[in-house]
Order: sequence, then C-alpha cells, then structure tokens
Amino acid sequence: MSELLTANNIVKQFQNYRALDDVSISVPANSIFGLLGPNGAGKTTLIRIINQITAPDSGEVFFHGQKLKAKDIEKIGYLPEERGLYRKMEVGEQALYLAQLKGLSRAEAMKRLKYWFEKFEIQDWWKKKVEELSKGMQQKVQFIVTVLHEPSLLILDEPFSGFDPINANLIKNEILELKAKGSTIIFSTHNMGSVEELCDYIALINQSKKILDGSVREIRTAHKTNTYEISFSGNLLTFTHNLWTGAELLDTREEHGITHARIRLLGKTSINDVLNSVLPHITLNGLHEVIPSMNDIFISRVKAGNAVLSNHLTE
Amino acid sequence: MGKIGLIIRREYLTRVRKKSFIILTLLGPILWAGVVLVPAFLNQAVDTVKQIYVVDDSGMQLADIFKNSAKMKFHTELQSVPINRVTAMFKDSDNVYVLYLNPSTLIAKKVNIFCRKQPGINVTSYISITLSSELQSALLKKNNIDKALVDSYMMPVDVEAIENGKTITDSDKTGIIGIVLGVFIYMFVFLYSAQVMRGVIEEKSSRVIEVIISSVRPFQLMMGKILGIALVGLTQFLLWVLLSIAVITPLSSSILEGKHYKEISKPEMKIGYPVGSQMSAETSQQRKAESGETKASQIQDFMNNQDWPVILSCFLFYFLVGYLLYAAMFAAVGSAVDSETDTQQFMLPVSAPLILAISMSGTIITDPNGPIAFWFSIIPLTSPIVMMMRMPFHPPVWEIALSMALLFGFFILMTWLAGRIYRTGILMYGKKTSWKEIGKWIFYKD
Repeated sequence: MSELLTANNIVKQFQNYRALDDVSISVPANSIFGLLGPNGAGKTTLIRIINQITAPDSGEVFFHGQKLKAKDIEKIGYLPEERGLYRKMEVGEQALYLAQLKGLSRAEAMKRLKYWFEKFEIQDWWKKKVEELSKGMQQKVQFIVTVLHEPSLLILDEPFSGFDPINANLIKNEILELKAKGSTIIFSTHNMGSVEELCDYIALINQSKKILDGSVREIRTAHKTNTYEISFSGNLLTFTHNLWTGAELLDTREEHGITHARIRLLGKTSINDVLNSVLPHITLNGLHEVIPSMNDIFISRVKAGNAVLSNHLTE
Repeated sequence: MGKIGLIIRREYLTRVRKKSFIILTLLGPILWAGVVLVPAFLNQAVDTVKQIYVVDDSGMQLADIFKNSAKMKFHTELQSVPINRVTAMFKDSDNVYVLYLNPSTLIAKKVNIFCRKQPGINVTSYISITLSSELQSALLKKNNIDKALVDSYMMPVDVEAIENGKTITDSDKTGIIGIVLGVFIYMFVFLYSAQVMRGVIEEKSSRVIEVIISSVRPFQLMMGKILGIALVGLTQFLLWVLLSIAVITPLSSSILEGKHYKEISKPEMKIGYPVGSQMSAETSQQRKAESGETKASQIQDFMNNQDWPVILSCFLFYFLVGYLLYAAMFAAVGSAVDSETDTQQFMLPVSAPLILAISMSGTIITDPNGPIAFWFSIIPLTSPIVMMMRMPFHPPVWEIALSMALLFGFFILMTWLAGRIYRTGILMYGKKTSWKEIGKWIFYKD
C-alpha cells in the first residue's frame, strides 16, 4: 500500500493553545480518508498545513513520497468548510480565474469547464453573477472549481453541507467517480453515516491529538463488543433463565410478537454456546452480530478521551 | 502570466468594468470644472442686483458719484427726501439698501447703510473706495493742492524675488499650485487605499479568501490587489487628465478672454485692501493694466515658469509610492476586521498623517522652506503630500532625494509588516481584533 500523503509528528502552537500535538496521519493512495473529530479538535489546522496556508511548528508533510513543496498546491484541490466565491463576479469568469490560479491555462480551463457545466447542466449560469445563484447552486460551482484541475489529492471539508438530498447524492457519486479515476480524497465531516458509506480509512482527532486511525472495517471490527441480537418468538423469561452466566442481557424490544434481545457474551462463551442452551425453549427468527457504528465509536472514544483528560487535570 | 499577474488582471478588470468607475471617470472632469466654474458663475448670475438708494445730506452733491455695476444699482431719485422717511419706506424690502451721507460725512469719515440684511463686502468696499477717493479730491481742491502731485507721492513698492536668476512670480499663486498638487495626492491615496481595504474585507467576508490562498501565497494576493488597484488609479488619473484638458480648455479660454472674466474679477481685486491704501491699490492696478498685462497671460506666464516635467514626474512618484505605502497599511487593516463597520478604530490612526499633512497646507505654503515644511516633507507618512506642496517652490534637490529614498524604504518596511499582519488576519474570524493582537501577529512564525 503506497501512501499519497503522510504527515509526521505535526505540532502547531498558537498563542495560548496547541492546535495540533504530535499528530501523524498517512493517507493511502486512491482511497477516501475520513478526517474526523469534534469541533475545534484541530482538523482545519491540519488541513491548512497540508494546503500550505500555514506551516507547522515542527513535523513534516510528504506528498507523493517527497517533502511537500509550494508547487504541490497545483495538485491539491481544496473545498473549505466556509465556502466562498466573489459575489459580484460572473460564474464563468470566476471559475476561469480560480482554475488559472491553480495553474491551468486559460484554454484548458475553458475546455474542462465546458465539460463540467454540461455534466451538471448549468451552462446557462455562465454569465450570471454569483450573488444571483442560490446557495446550493453556488456550492455546485464551488465543487467544480475544486476538482477542475484534476488534483491527485482532494480535500473536502463537509462537502455535503448546504446540498439538498438530490444534489448531495450527485456530489457523492462524483466523489466516488473521482476515486475510481485515481484521486485520493481527504474527507472531513461530522456526518458519520457518510463516513461509513464512503471512507476506506479514518483518523480521529480530539483535543489536538490523534486518538484513533486505521481502516474503517478494521476499526469497527476492533470495536466489536461481542454483542449479538437474537430475534425469537417464545417466552422471554425462559430465554433469560437459560442464558445462564455465559451472557448478559443488554436490552429487549418486542415487535409484532417477535422479541429482539441484545446480549453480550461474557468470558470465553461463544455464540454457539448461547444458542445451544436457549434453542430448545424458543423459536429462532434471526441472529446477527452488532458491529458498532462509526457514530458510536466516535462518541465513545471522544468521551473517553475527554474523561481521561479531565481526570488528568483534576489529579 | 504568473499568478500575481492573474491577480493584478482580475483586480484591474473587475474595477475598470464597473459602472461606477466609468461614471466617475466621465464625471470627474465635469465635477472639477464645476468646482472651478460654478462659484464664478453663481457670483455672476444668481446674485440679484442690489438696489441702493442714496440720501445725501452731506451738502457736497455726492449722490451722483456712484456707478452702477452688474451687482449694484444706485438710485438718486430720493436723495433729498428726509432719511427717516426713506428708511420707513423700505423697512420691509429685502434687497434694498439706503446709503445715508450725513452732514458730518467729511469730518467723521463715516457713512451709514440702512438695511434688513448685511450688504456684503462688495458693496461696502466699493462705496468706501469711491467715497474716500471723492472726499480726498474734494479736500485737496478746497486747499488748492494739485491731485496729480499728491498721486506722484504715492510709492507702492513691489517685491520681486529672483531665485537662482529666475524671476519668481507671486508666491500666493505658487502656493495654490502646491495645494492643488497636495490635495490630488491626498485624494488619490485615500480613494484607492480605501478600495484596497474594501477589497480585502470583501474577500474575507465572502470567505473566498481560503480558496485563493490555497492557490497563491497571501503576500502575492495582497500585492496583486495593491498593484491592480494602482493601475486602476493610474488609468483613472490619465483619463481624468485627458478629459479635463478636453473639458476645461474651451471653457477656460472663453472665460479668461471673454468679458465675463473682467466683471468677475473686478470686485474681487478691491476686496481686502484697507480703505486707507486705496490709492496705492488703484495705482498698482492701473500700472498692471497699463503695462498691457492681462491676468490670463500672467497665469500663462506663471504656468510656463514651472518646471512641469519635473513636477509631474515627482507627482507620479509620490502618488505611486505614497499610495503603495498607505495601501499596504489599509490592506492590513482590512485583514484584521470582519466587516467595514469594524474598521473605525484602525482607520483613524492610519489616516491621521494624511489629514495632518492636508491641514498644515497653510503653514507649508506660507513658509515652504521652514522647519515644519522641511520635516514633514521628509517624514515618510506625510512626505507625499507635503513635498508636493513644496514642489512649485523649488525645494533643494537633496531634500527631494532624501524624502523619496525614505519614503521608498518605509514603503518596503510597511509592506513587509502589513504582509505579516495580513496573512494571519485574513484567517481570523469572529474575534474583535485589538492593536495588541495585531502586534503579536507580526511576530508569528510562518
């Protein structure tokens, strides 16, 4: 697995607080990498360092295996969370300008804009001023401008905010298509649903430190708590009695005469052991392992991190 | 085209294409012509003719000596009617003045005008000059003294400065040129620096800034903006000069040569001479008139006397570098705030030197080589304006060179400082920025 971008031991200190404390991430090529964390965790600072908007106090960033240099910004596309375009400028002219700033020639930019404007069916916006467009329309233009120079690394900060579900889906498909074409995408968001759906890898940053990273599948597997959901018809009391000490009943709910019980296995008990003891007393409707969602992992890890920190502070 | 070139191009084109630019460029010269010509025109046309009734109790038959002019009409019909009846007659009339020559006019050297509103200095000075001349003649005649003899004793002396072999014409006119040049610099620097500030705030508040600085360095963006707007300023200046020449030349030649000019200027000339010195004033006027010199040609001569290529190239230098210096500071101010309404606390200190320089214009042109003029034309923040005010007085070359060198050096320093404030400021939102904070930004590492 080759890394498109690695950031090693990044430290960034502002006047009274440390925005990034020894944070390292490595983003595999041709993947979607989720950069997660609560507000104020330091995500934007890290993104700005990768974009060379600010420089780290210490630590290094490598891009395509080499130290990040000024020219690399032409290979990076950045969609900031706070979007913005020149309000009084015409859409087409503005897109041309921003593309040229990213190093495209005017003719090449024109050609690619034509393609994108046709794809999004927005040709007749070309001569409109940005302020005449709705917020969602502006976002579309901004997305085009971000990807127009075909960057090998795309950094998208909350790319779906401000879009209606239809357009959010459109953008999601574009992101997947860009990945299929070979782009690598760093994707910063609070929307854990889209993380599970899109991301191959994640890094979780909390209070200026990285507290978790790896592939989404591995992380979710690693966070399994041996929890299963058993759906059955039959007497709940009997079921509970026969669980014995090998498993703990977490919760139950009943729907249309079927009971769904979540249990956590204890000690060396396997799910087969549990089934062996309960099956004689119930009619089984279904069984599946409960894998924690990214949302659960996010919340539990951030809370745990904060608790450790506050304990540390009170000691 | 490099990236900074792209930025300059955008800044230039978006501004030059704006309707407001085109309108201001077209109207500028008309406004200027208006500023120059409207007062003259108003003075001439709008003012109603003042009706002055003369009541003569002096016993010297003085009622007929006053001549009507475009602004005053003298009536002698009521000269023998008792004064209280005449004043009663006109006590409600706005534009009527009753000039009363009382029996003791010659002794008291005093006459009265009865009026509802002040007659104005034009009227009083005309009456004063006419009467005192007449009374003097009467007195001389009574004592059998030849008036021509007395006139020949009047010795008005003109002082003519000869600087390095060149005759210097009236320094009050030189001063006016100086002030005009200074005001131009002031206006340009203010107008375009403020545009830089507004541009920075626009980029910040529309949040486009983060997209741009992920493509170019903040310093490139700042300089691109400053240089682009400098080009807008130069374009506008050039167009104004050309259009002004086109507008003012035909108008001013008709005014300076036509009859209008004489009527306008006549009362003005007499204003301000103390009554006692009227003889000398008149003779001096006469001498000038006799020597065949019209005021128009005097101005022409005077304009030709100035070394325009030098003055204009200095103007361009001070305009450009002065603008660059202030634009950098205004850009820093723009970067430190979220919206234009927050700029006040920074605007005043930054623009104070400009305002100070303009407010000292009087002092500068009365003593263009004095210590105040010298120091303020050397200190970089005021030098663009103050040195331009001194330019028509031919300040020493070394002073100009020193002033320019310091201004340029200070511009480099300020741009560096502004760049450091700017790169931090443009990413700061929400907080109200203090001076202390800005100071810290300067020392942030990249």
